[in-house]
Amino acid sequence: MRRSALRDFFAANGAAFEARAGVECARAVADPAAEYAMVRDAVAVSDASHHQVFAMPDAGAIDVLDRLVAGNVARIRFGRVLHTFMADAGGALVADCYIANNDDEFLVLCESLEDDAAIRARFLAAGRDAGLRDLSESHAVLSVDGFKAWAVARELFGADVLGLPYLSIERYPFEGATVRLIRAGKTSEFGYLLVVPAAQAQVLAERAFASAKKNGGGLCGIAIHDDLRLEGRFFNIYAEGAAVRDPLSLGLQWMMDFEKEEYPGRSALLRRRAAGFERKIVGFKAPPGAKVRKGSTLHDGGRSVGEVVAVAQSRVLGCTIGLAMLPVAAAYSGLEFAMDASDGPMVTTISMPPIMPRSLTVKIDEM
Amino acid sequence: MRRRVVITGVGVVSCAGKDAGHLAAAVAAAKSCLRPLGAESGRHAGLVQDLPAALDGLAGASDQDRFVVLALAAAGQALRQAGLEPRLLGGRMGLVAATCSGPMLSIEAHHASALAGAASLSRAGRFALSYASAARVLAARFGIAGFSGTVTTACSASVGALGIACDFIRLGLLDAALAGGSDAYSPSTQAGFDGLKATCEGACAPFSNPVGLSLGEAGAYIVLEERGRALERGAAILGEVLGFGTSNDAYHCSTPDPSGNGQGLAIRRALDDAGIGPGEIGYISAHGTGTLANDKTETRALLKALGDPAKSVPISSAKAVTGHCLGAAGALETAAALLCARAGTLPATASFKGPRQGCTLDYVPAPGRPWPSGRPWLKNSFAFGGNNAAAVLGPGPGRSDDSSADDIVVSAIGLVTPAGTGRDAFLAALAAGVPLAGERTDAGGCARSICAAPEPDARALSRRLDLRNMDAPSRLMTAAAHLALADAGIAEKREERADAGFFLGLATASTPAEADFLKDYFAHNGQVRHIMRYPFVVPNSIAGDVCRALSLTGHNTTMCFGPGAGLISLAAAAVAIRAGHSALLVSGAVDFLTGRELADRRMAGEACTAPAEAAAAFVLESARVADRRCARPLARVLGMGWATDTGDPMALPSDGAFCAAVQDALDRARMAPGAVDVICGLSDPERDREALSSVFKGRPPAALGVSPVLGEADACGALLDLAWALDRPGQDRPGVILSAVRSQYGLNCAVVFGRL
Amino acid sequence: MSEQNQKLIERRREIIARLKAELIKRLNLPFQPDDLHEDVALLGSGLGLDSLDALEIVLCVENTFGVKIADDNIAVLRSINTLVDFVMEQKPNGGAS
Repeated sequence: MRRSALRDFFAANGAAFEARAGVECARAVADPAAEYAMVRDAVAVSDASHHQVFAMPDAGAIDVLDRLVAGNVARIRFGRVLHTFMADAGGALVADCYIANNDDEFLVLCESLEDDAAIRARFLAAGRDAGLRDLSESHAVLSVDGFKAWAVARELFGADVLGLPYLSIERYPFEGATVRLIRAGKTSEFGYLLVVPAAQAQVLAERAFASAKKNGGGLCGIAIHDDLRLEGRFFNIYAEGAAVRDPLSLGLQWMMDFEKEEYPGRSALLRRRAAGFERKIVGFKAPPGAKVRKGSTLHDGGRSVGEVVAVAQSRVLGCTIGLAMLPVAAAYSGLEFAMDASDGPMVTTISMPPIMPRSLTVKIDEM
Repeated sequence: MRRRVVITGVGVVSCAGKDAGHLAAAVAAAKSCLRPLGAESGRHAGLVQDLPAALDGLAGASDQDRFVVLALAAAGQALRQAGLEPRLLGGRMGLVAATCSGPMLSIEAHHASALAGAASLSRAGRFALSYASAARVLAARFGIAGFSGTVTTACSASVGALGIACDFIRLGLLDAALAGGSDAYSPSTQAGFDGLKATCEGACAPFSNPVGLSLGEAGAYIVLEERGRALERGAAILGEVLGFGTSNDAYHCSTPDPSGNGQGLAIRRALDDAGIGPGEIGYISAHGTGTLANDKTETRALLKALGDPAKSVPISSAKAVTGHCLGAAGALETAAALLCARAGTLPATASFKGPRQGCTLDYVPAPGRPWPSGRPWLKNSFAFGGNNAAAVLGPGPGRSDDSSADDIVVSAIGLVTPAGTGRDAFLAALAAGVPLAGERTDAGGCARSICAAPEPDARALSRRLDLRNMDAPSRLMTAAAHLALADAGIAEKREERADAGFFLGLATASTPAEADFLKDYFAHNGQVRHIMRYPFVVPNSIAGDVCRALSLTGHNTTMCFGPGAGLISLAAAAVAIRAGHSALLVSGAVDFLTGRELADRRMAGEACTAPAEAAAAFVLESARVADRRCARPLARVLGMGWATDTGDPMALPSDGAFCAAVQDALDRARMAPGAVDVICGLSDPERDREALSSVFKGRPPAALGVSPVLGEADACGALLDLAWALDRPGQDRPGVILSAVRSQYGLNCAVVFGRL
Repeated sequence: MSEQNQKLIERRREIIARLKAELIKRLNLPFQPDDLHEDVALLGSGLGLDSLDALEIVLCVENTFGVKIADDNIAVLRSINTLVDFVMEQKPNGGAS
């Protein structure tokens, strides 16, 4: 089990921990409602060191990464970030990856279903001699998310941060070291991932925490991110990803370049694409009080037609929402299904994303 | 010592009135001259009310497109104020025109009549469709016989024109020049900007509310002159051009890079060129269109380029008075500020009712303030296609050291031709000597014989090259520029390319997107049903695509010259490097044949056996830089010459100007005609060599050309000839190559190359 | 499938098919209709379209279905499904214009 360089900091602030992809992570710091409110209304700082982080010099990186992931790495422009996935030979999901073209290096942040050693082995298999550096141990990843996340980023790194478009990367000096900042986020609010050397991680976390408090926020764990992701319909590899594994049924075609020649799982995925997949993922909401859990079944006309693969509490809608796998012919929003039994509570499939976050209605510097 | 360039005349016709004085008065009073467009529309626009009055008796203008008439009126005014008679300066007087939408009114009318089934096109009608027509008419009307050209970088074009004219004078290539721009209001332009949601209801209020721009129309020209000459003849000096800089965002076709990096680069380059520190700037004449993206990005760019001083420098936008006059805007706003400075007034931003969010600087609410006399000031101008231009003006002296580079070398070539992608395919086809003509259907449904270039295979060229979502001209040009950069050994890294620039020469500025947009526009009675491609209507969208795909953020322009544009643009790039704007430039030209263009050629009865589609890119750099990075240049630029035909635009080009350009180039190369081994670039070798016999005192050397095999490529034909001359295998490699072109749009250009 | 669900599906399927075909054509998307999951974000994340694409999407929906999207109504531009919901709301009795 890998220990995050930020573990002690979060422990000292009262965090509870869990293991994710073989990494011990701060699951929760405050009560979920409070953590949620921080992100939607202010800003929350969390430990995202469950990401595996790899860096490699740009010379060979394109070839290596091109052989590893489904997206077209070669076309990432300087300073920009590609969101894609890594699959195994059978076309099953392995990792959700941000790949950043940071001029002279490519940086990869993986949220994966495998532990560090297994992911590292995949990288090494693709390019042992590419100057690959595994930063997972030597660095921590701090996530700053929320309606006011930009204010924290600005305080830490200067006003230049405000000009960064979504999915871009920049380096900033910090305490004699370099922080790699990726503007990304999967909460529907402004978000930054800060890759910081372990030696400076604690100081950065302290500063970010202080700045977050000043802006009405604080610390949060990664568990609340699961709710935030589903509410914003951001793909979550630890929830629906782990349950389904098939990128096509999950609707991840946008992460793929169908013209690409070679990467693990390509032929399996293209075969399934040509044949037409049978089931796909759909969002739903449940009536108040209904107990929905992962694995619940959905029934139509007395038959079980689908299965729940992810569940979250939507604080905006005031009900439980989730994702279910349904036959393609029934995978439409606006339909009613009975849950768990033919006479169970009725859930309704809905169009996603179901909420309109404030961060989308304003531009950073208009606040 | 660097030659200093002063301004001795300005001329503007705008919605504020018939001359620059009316404009200056309105700007100084911060009085919006925008009026409602009509009863149904809430939009306002700045239209010229009485154009005949502005012409002030200038004859022969009535049958021209409105953008030409606006240019004539403004240029005539500027020359009168300067008290300059161009004819007396001969080849020492130049002209750099600018436009965004050029003859859009004529183009609209032409599309409408083609839709209605018109079957023929007169020579005058075809001439009126050219973006280069204003420069041609102006040169003829006023007798401007030196360099002439048209900058077509959309909304930044006239600041670009000012900068290019300034460079020619600084380097001693001209003694005086007329520079500026014109654009006429057109319904399809309004529809395009409305479709982009860039316009506002009511009159625009830059940096304030409402958000959005109002369109205007204007002609604005400025007379630039070498300072010593101006002083000698006792001319009144309105100001001095101290520095000029450009950049490309390499970001997006219509949205400025929100970081402000691209715009900031242009501003910093202008300051460096002027030798002025950020704290010395006393006033900023903003681009200030009023759109959300511009006003915010411009604010950020100023903060980046000037640092803290930006917070205390007064900034105002004259677009609140005149609306956005597109290609005329930069020159108009420069003229307004020059006259305000003379009157001692720092103009307020009209219609400013408190800053918009994200706009954090001092935008000068009414009333104005005293002009900060003695301080230099900054003019910003930004455009679609990511082109940014900035100029520093003011009282001199500015930088006195001469930073100009001497020797310019050609260090690499990239080609996409009907023979295929790359130089090997090109040479193989020429060796085989078999003509490569094919067929394509024009907009009128007739089959035409053309030499088309096969589609470049991006992934085979470089895994990083992305040609998707580009129109054909951009695909060809990007592939050629990529090959040239690869040949030059410039790695695909941002820092290696940050200061590498791109110059584009076009024969015709009418893009495929222009034809598609107007087709859609007329098919739906002026309703815009597609907007995605509207930003690609402007000709510099091609350079924007190239710069974005190849991460080129250096010095950047697009110019339209008619046939020969590739060589002329290469010469202009050499001038820009000599002037110190860039250590390395890719100079390119691309030919593309839209269905509309092919039909127009047929309807006008133009004789051309097989027009070609092709792109050529040449890497130019100073010999010092090439040496430092151990490049192996192919040739040295030994001498350049330009001469503009001042005869009737409708008459055949005269031999006199052609010979003058060649003589000039040979003189500058300090070379006797007999030293020339081969001549290339000639569109009609028989006629052109005959014409040159006076320069060569007998029969000129043999001509070399690729057109019998690869077809006639208007813009890049001369570059293809040159590539062949430089690349020919075997014994017949010439040592001294004269490349000479004659454009039907007036300019003749000759360059002498020495093989290395 | 219940009759009510079936009727909803048919209406929705038709609108989705027309919308996807138009979007692929207008935005030059490198995908086939089945590759586009109806819940994928159009702007920013997901397909990563920009503000110019957003204007084209508005024109696409307006011209294909004869409905008008207000300038400030960015909530409907979040995914294909939110666009389809909007069309179905505006045109309760039929899709095509």
